[in-house]
Amino acid sequence: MMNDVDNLIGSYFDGTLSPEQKGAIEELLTQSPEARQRFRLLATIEDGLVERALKFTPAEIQTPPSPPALKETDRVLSCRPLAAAITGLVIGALSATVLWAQATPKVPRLERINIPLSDPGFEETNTPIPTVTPRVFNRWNGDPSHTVSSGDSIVKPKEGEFMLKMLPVEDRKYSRIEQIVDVGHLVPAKGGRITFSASVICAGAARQSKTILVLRSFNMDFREISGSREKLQEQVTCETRRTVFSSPGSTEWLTGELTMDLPENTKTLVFEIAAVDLPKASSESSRYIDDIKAEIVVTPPNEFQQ
Amino acid sequence: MTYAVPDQHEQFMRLLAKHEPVVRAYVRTGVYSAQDVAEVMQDISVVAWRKFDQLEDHSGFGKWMTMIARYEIMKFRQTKARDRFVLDDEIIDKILQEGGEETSIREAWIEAIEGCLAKLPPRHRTLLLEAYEPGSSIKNLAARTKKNPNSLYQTLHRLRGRIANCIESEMAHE
Repeated sequence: MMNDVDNLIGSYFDGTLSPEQKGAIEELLTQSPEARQRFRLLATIEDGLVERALKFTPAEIQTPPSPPALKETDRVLSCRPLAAAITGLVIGALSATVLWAQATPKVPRLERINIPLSDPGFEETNTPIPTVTPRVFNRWNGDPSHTVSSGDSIVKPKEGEFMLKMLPVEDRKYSRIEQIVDVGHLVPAKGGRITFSASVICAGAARQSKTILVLRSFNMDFREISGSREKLQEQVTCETRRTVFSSPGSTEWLTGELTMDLPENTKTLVFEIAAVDLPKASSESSRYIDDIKAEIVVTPPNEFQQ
Repeated sequence: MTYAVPDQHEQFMRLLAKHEPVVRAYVRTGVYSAQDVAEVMQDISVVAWRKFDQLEDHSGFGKWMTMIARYEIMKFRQTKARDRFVLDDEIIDKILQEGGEETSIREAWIEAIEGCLAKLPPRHRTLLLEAYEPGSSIKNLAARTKKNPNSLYQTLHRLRGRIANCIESEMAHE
């Protein structure tokens, strides 16, 4: 009996209810207080799994303490691996004779376009705005956090006078902020490469802690993006993560940087920073973020032409 | 230049952070898709912040937020009235009304999820979490795990049912 109820409720939450099933679940929920409570329990599990899955990141990559500056040889996480592989094979086959003839391949010149992130160093005391206001564009949004001038006697801002202090969220092992940025006018039609970096310090941590940088790209105009995080996820054209590990007792700023290939026609980017395993408020340990940077690296079209 | 965090704002943020998971789970009972939860939560947060100075006893913050949530959920549902997945308003209101009285039970449910998840065999736990990962879709997961999408839905229903049974069993033993 409970299996039938679970199946009906499960189909409802999965969005796969048939009209007949919809009638059946409405009848069941009208008649049975036990079914209504089971419904509330399964809804709580649904929500719990969504939150829990955010911490399930098997593809996380460890960041070295001092990441090297971007070079042409850096590994780029591409969202078009198949296309890239095919393109590589075709180019390889067509240009094999040319490559034989060249002793030193020409290194393309790179152009860097700064992405105008709003308040990248948290110098404006009114930001970031946490969840008390609806999500807006071109400013920081997210979980509770404060801009502070100095967290304690040890921590000083990485740059400027202020930095962000992330606060723990009760019953959640992470806290996050994000910024949605319109880049339609910055990204070339055929895409480009983007770097996204942020500096992190975890003062007074008794154990290793991690902060994750996440970058997502969209082909949608930023005005078409709704405030819902899950809804955004369905439209993602590319996503890359980078984890910054802070050692216990670390008192130095660590800079994490990720690099990602931007798909064609990228119009909007969402920059996210998640502090995982934030200590409780009673602890003396705190997580700070500062000096966030993002830039698009473009190879001028004629650079590859011989 | 000195910077002082406004007391009331910080107090609100701390209370919000503390009660947000329970309120969000409550919201989940009233809106059928996970995508809508974030939108409704933002509306609730805005209303709560505007009215925060009217709340005299901060120990009742969770229950107060739940009351706001019930109103905001029903308001939100009006915008989705034509959606074929939306259940009858009277039923949902009944569910919300009963759910409004079980804040502490919901808290215990949330606390028990992690332990019950850990009791699943690793491959089932992984499958379940992969299904809920941001960006995941049943179609892609089914292709990757070489399962039929319908059969995968059934498996996920069973796994969630097992977690629900585990939570109920733990509550019964407390």
